Amino acid sequence: MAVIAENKKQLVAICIYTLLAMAIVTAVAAEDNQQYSRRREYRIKAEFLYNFFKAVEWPKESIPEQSEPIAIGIVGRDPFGDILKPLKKKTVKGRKIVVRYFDDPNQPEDSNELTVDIHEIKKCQMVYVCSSQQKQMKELIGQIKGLPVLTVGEIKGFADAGGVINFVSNKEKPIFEINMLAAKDSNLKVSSKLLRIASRVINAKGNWGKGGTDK
Amino acid sequence: MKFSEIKIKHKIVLLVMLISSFVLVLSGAALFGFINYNMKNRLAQEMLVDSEVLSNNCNIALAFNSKDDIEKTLDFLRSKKSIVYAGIYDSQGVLFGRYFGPDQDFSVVPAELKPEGYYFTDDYLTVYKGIVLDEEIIGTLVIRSNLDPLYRVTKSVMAGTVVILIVGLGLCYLLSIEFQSIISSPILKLSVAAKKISQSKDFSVRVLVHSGGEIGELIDSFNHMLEQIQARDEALIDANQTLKDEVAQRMKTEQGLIEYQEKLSKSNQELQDFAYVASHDLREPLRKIIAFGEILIETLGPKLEEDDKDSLELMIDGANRLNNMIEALLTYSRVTTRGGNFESVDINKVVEELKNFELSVRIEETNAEVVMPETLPCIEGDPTQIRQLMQNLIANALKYQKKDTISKVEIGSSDTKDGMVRIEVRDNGIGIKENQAGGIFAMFKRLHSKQEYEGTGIGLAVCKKIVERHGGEIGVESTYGEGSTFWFTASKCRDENVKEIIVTASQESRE
Repeated sequence: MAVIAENKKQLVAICIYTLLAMAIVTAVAAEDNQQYSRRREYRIKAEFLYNFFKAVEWPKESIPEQSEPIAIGIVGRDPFGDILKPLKKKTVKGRKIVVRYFDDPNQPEDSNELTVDIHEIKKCQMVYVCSSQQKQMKELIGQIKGLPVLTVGEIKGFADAGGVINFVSNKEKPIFEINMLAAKDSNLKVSSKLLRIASRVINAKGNWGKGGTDK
Repeated sequence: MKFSEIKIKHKIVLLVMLISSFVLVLSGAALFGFINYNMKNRLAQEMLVDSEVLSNNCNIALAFNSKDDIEKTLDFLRSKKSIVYAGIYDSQGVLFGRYFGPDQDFSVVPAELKPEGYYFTDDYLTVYKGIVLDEEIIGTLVIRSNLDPLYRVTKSVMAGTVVILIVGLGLCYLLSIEFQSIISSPILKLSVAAKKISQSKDFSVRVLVHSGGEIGELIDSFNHMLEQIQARDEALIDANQTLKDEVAQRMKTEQGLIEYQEKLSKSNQELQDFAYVASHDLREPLRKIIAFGEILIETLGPKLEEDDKDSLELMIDGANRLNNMIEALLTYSRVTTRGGNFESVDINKVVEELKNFELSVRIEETNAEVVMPETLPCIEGDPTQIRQLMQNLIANALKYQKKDTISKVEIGSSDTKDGMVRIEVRDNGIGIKENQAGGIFAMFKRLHSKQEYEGTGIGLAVCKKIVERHGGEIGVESTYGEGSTFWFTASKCRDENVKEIIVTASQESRE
């Protein structure tokens, strides 16, 4: 019996070890999987950003000279990393693309104050507001409002707050909503074909609170 | 049946039909081809427009990977029944969204992407169109349509063409049947008329068809020809009648002539018989007169008075002359009544014999010369009569001699143009005056008194008659006071002909 007991203990130990190993492997794999899907999401987002340039028309005066590049400003903690690199090689509307980063690492998360150089941001044709800017987005939107700058966000309520396009998180793939009123305010013409793709289009005052939560 | 054997009206109809159907089929095919080409073009253009719209419509959806939107967009094609497939491929050629036509036939998916443009295959029209966003080709739109619209039009055009062809050919047939007579009827009438004329030989028929152009000319020429034939025919009939009349007239005349000839020869025969009988019977009493006259002179010789003796001698002389004349007459009449058969007569021999017998006394008396400078030919004739002829001629030549001149008679010969032989008897006698030569061969024609030259006046007439019986001619050429040449022609004897020919042939062969 003792032998059996001894054997039992061993068996249990083996099982435990095995389970432990499996758990570790699974955890690592899960971690990897999460990392992978996040990367995939941002690769698609990067492509979308590029395509937004094509699907949206800026007023002529706001577009730089032929020789000057079109600028996209990344405001906040950059989630793309090297994913945006290929973007720099592409052209849109016959111009090169330059990515500019506006991030203040010292900015407290809770503060509503903008600590980045708003003047430089205003010079960009597209501004991507990262999720780190959840508190500051209203201030930012307020500052940019009326200027021909396409604001793209990834914060819940960004479009309702007056941002033009907002990525809505989705398990399958990124989708976006469009605030047509904001686009109109910014003098931007958004292709109707883009509107068809959008998950939600805000084009009347009444729609503002529909998809997201105000505040 | 060969084409050339078909009747002309069927020929015309057939030709018109052949040409018309050729033209109709050709134009039908051309029309068909043209419409087909146009329809294909139109179909392609329509598809191109559709593809333009679609590709424009889905570029952003493709850019944003919105499959839902793309399929919604492609659903726009639902209204176009002929479109069997549409697909949207990204720039890598990976299918992104697609649409199937009402039949949901999955076999219609193109195997590969082709450069932008439209492509006709047996069953489909396929349009490839790049999807462009901001001057960048981000994908390809493929639309494939079946060719039903084309087939529909093709079918109706084909049906229309066939109907036009049938109706057109029908009309053509009716029209050609109707109008072929314009060409064929004058020709047919002409042909009927020609047949009728050739059967009835009635050249008074005319083709009364009014037609212009070559056929009109043909008919005019035909009528003209008929006129000429008719005129000639009539002239022939006239001439024939005239000839008939003439022949009848001649037959009549000939009949008369024959009758006359018969009558004549009968009376001639009677006359000859009479003359012969008469002369024969006349000689009997004459001989008695002569014989008894001579007996009287002998017996009464010395007793007779001189005058009576002269009278008796005159009587005997007269009776002798009459006897001679009768003898001559008998000879004359015997030329035809007692004529012998013809054979070869050697003139040389005849002349020699005459010289030795009949004429020897006279030749000796007058010391005359009868010569043949060259050998005379042999002639075809009655030997007795030829001998008589030669004797008369030579005797004549000897007789009419100038006083105190020795006669010289030459007998010669020559060939005539018509293949006969001419015998000449030349003398150096008194000759004949030109105006007297004409009647010299007539019976009892005498140029001189019986005191000057003796004679009966029948000798030359006998000569003429003999020559004529032998089919020759007789004549005289003379210079008054110098001599005469009497000549006659006769046939060469056949043997000599043969001889001559042999001689000529041998001469030729020698050469």
